[in-house]
Amino acid sequence: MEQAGNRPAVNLKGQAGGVPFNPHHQETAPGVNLAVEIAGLRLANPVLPASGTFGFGAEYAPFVELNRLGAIVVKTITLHPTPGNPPPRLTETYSGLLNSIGLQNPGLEVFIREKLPYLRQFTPPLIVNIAGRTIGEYAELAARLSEAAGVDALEVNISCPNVREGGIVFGTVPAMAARVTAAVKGNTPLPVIVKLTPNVTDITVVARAVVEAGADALSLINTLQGMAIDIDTRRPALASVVGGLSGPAVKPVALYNVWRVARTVKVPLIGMGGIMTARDAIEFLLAGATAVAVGTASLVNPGALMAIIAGLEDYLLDQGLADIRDLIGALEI
Amino acid sequence: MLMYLQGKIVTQKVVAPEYNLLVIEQPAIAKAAQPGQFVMLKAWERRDLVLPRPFSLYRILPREGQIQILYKIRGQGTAEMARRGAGEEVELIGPSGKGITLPATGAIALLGRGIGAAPLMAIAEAAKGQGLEVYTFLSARERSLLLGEEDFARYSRRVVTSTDDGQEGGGRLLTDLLVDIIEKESPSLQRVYTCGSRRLARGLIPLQARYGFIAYVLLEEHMACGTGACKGCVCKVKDPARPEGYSYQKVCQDGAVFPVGEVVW
Repeated sequence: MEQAGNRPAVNLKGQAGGVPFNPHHQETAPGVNLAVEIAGLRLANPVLPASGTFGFGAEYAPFVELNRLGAIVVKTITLHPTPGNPPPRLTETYSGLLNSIGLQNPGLEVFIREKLPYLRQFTPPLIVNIAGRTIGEYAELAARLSEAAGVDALEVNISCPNVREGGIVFGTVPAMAARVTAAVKGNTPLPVIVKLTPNVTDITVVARAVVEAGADALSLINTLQGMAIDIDTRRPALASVVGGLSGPAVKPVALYNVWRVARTVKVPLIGMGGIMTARDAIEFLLAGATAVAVGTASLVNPGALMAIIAGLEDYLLDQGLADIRDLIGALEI
Repeated sequence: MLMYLQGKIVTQKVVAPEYNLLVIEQPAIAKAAQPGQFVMLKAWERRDLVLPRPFSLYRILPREGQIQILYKIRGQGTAEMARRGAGEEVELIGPSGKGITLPATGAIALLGRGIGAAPLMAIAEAAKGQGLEVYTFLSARERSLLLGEEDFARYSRRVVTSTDDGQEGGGRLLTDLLVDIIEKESPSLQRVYTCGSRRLARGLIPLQARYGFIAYVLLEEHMACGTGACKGCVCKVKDPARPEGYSYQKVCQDGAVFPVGEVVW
């Protein structure tokens, strides 16, 4: 048998996800531009972690160079600590992950006191995701995070399927979505990104409403509502019965929504939903996203973000392209 | 520090119906891992199986650069794992979780139900290596499903077994068998570790004060990331600082070892 015992451990940082990660690959190759702009924020590349899958950054520090990300996006913050939903909170479905976490987070004050100082040390823009139970809570979160040094933009979560109050309720009714957006805009000088749910009849109606209310950019899609049942116990797989589906299973739906919204509004889009590889990310750019967010892939391969950034660069070089912005909305029909 | 590494399968063997032992060469994890910690493992390229799966460490062998995983073939992920053979590679994230802290002196007891025996072996080995006395209690549905009895015997002063069919230990509860030993042999019992049965873990709560030990449970939960990021694998733990009186703690990062008295059962 082959003796592999003395062989150095192969660090897979960023290797899975279909694109080989080259650890010597340090900076963007000369002549290739990966930088994009979203709502006045300059991102060194268009690859972001998706809120809720990246903790507060520190969890992924062993696997990801946080300074190489396009931006850092942290888990949803609520005004008060949120305990989250009872377990089981997760179940795997074919090519998908069904979750009902329920926005568990330590609340605004602990975030500012204990998480923000760590996050301030990194150079990419910091995007803080917020959710309120009322419009007043969204406004207060916006005001207080704007005073806290180190926050560069707000991502407004009006699309969480797993909380009883607020969340998706604000995201499915266009007038409510607009009111939340206006309240946040009125309380912050920071760029405001609104995160949309696909659990609506027509996502473009909500997109148009929040853009008219002042949204500087949109993130889409949040998870798709779904459920799973254990037929042995006849009980739902999740304690909350219903959860949000993510992972490769949702990618075609996400791509379709991004494509439709890109043709409806003028603001930049952050596309997400089942992106596992650089090839997936490129599909979203072609459909009209200016940047992409990677969620479930990081849970599978904690180095996925690095692999996708490297893969985008390789794609540009292979295609003889100098600027990633040439791909945005470049779908040929 | 968590690592994301490739490991190579050294051997895989069937140890009982539906139970396999997987030996993986991965020197960095074997060197860093502590008893009670676990790894996230992915042993398939299938796109329909998305997430890696958590597995406790049956044995940690830093000198050999190996870890051993004793697992039950339960779903599609473990069925795929069972098909892998020597020389094939797996992806590992770990070592995850906090692991256990052994007492400086005295005795410990291990109570394992079914596959719950798996993480207890690494504890037994470390405890014996540190000169502690180990009392092991194993239960299962029937004799063929008692796991690791011979391995445990190497590290234990006593191995007591019980099967539901009454063939072993009269089918009695392991907590009752533990009390018998305490009453008869008066070991200087400092810590008890249990895994595989909520009933056993709950049963240890009243025994702590009576016999002066602290009991810990190694919890299992569905996991996605295994790194503390997704908040998917929580358990309910008493928390007087919260108005609800409890908070949800991450099994992957705050555990998987918890004092039985702190868990809300």
